Amino acid sequence: MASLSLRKINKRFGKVHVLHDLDLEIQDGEFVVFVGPSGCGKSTLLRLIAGLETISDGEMRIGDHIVNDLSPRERGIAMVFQSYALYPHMSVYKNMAFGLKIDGQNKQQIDQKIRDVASKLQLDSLLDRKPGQLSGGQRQRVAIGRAIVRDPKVFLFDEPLSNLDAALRLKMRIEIARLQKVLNTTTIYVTHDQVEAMTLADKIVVMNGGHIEQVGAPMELYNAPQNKFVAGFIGSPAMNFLVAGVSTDNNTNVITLANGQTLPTQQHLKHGTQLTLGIRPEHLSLYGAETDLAIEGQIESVERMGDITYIYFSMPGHDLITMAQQGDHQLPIGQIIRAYAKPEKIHLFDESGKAIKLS
Amino acid sequence: MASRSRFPWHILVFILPGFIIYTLFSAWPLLDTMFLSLFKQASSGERVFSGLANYQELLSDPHLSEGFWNALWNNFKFFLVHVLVQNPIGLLLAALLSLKGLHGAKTYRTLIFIPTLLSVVVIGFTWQLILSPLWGITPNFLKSIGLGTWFQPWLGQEHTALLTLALISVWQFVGVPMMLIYASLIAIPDELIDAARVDGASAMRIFWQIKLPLIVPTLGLVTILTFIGNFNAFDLIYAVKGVLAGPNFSTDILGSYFYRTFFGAQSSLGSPTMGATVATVMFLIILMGVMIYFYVVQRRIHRYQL
Ligand SMILES: Nc1ncnc2c1ncn2[C@@H]1O[C@H](COP(=O)(O)OP(=O)(O)O)[C@@H](O)[C@H]1O
Ligand SMILES: [Mg+2]
Repeated sequence: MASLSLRKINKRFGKVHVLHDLDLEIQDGEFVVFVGPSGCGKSTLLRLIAGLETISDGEMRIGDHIVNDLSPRERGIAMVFQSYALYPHMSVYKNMAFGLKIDGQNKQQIDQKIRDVASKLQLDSLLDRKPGQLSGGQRQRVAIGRAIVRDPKVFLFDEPLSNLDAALRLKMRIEIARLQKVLNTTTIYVTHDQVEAMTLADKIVVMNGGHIEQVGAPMELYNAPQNKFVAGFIGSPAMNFLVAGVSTDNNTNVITLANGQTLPTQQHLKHGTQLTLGIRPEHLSLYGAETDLAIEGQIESVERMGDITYIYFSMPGHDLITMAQQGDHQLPIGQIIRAYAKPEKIHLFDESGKAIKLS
Repeated sequence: MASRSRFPWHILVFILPGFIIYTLFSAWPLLDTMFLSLFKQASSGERVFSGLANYQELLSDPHLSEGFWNALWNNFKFFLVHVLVQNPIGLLLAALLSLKGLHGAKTYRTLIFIPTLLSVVVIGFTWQLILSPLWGITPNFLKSIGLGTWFQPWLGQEHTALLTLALISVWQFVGVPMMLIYASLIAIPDELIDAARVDGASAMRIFWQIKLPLIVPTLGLVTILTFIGNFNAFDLIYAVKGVLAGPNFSTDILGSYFYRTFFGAQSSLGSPTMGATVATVMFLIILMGVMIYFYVVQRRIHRYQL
């Protein structure tokens, strides 16, 4: 078990600058999820931590040791890959034993550890099989077992569930969460799926274009995204963005929506500033008070799930607005709809995308 | 029966071109050769059916069999050199070429493969010049680095000629196993190698315990292709040593032995029927080798889904 710290980490592949000045602190025993769109550098960062790629610039510590120049084994990490990467010519048992043998542990010790982990993961009956004779979910468990048996200081997962079907993914997600709580080993988990991030993480690191956009607990990111990217990425369905501006009304600044509606603000915003107003689908409601933000549009599509209804309506100059309503609502397409939002649920972003407090 | 469908003529039309070409150029000549080996040619030019007499003569008549067994044994040595030298070097080169971040890998690959594209006649002639004791560059070259006493007329001595020819052939064709093995090495997923690195495996261990077991099917294929090639070889011996495969038949292999039997050489007359017998025996030897490979070796080799 160990903490991990990154200082000004950079990675370049030749002239391509993939990671830019990343700083990150990970506590002992923490479950950290790197999330971001495809190609943002999550895997690269994980491979830097693993020691599979060299760090171009910066300093990395695991525990008290600078590990920049250490091999993966010396770093004491274990990794689970997206393709599972089981050795196809070795039985499940030998797959798990491979790393232990290299460590020079004796046969009995190895056997003890493997049987122990196998029973934890219900792999007992599979130990003699080759990976080719296993289902996707079983391979996944073997890959996790192979990592656990090493008793590493840090677990690294690179999109481990993306090759599984939806039902199995849910099951494995719960399994991984449970295992991590039991083992209490520092874990870094890469995914592009924000649902996995929200459900698994103690701490989420949102990445975009080789930069860290925000680091925080899931609910922190949900409630107080620091910028428009995080706001749009965390939460499902994604946040709606409305065009807004700043105008002066009786010597006080007010935020003006495209439909002429105004919202009071105490911020000193310059007249004429362009703003983006963000509101989550689940914070829009069919009913509201006089003081609420109200927007209007024409219903384009309705998705009824039974427990929840997604209503998509169009407003000129905007992408489709999504509204999520609890329960079943039968609404005719083409109808004009009015949606309300409580002022305290509204997020505001300046021209550069940075969040500003409304009050 | 009105519902009975018509004979599927279109299938025949699709099969026919391939069938005709294969029959005309492969199956028929082969069968005709085998058939011819069952005859003897009288001095009058008349052919008489003689059953397996030619085979008996080839394998036991001292006049013929001595040369045959010599050629067969030489051919095995020729093959052995390829298996022990060409294929390991091919494997080594492929392993080096497939290393991540090797600069100029494409250039090396091309350069090593180029000799394969040259005519065997050119290669044979070139090496003859290089190794010649009279005007070759080797004697002077060895002398200039102080190893002048090491020089021998390798192509002219009975105990070195075959080995030298085999090594020339290795030099020319090492690119083929290299390419085949290289292709199967780069097909191994990167994540698998990464997993082994995370497990703490050194490059050596990754090669021996991960990569090598996964390319065994290719190594088997390379070996059987080498076997077929070697037991059909003829051109290099002929280009360098002529029909007599000297000195004193020390470089004679089945291909050159067949040539002499069929067409004759110097004083001895050729015999089409005995030639057909040698050709059939060569075919049977190769067939046996390939069958042993398919039914014994390949069944024990596992091809893993990567
Ligand atoms: N070995 C490499 N050489 C060059 N560019 C690379 C290499 N590996 C990754 N990249 C680039 O780095 C960026 C980040 O890739 P990656 O870390 O795999 O993204 P993610 O895992 O977030 O989808 C991509 O633009 C990718 O093209
Ligand atoms: Mg990735």
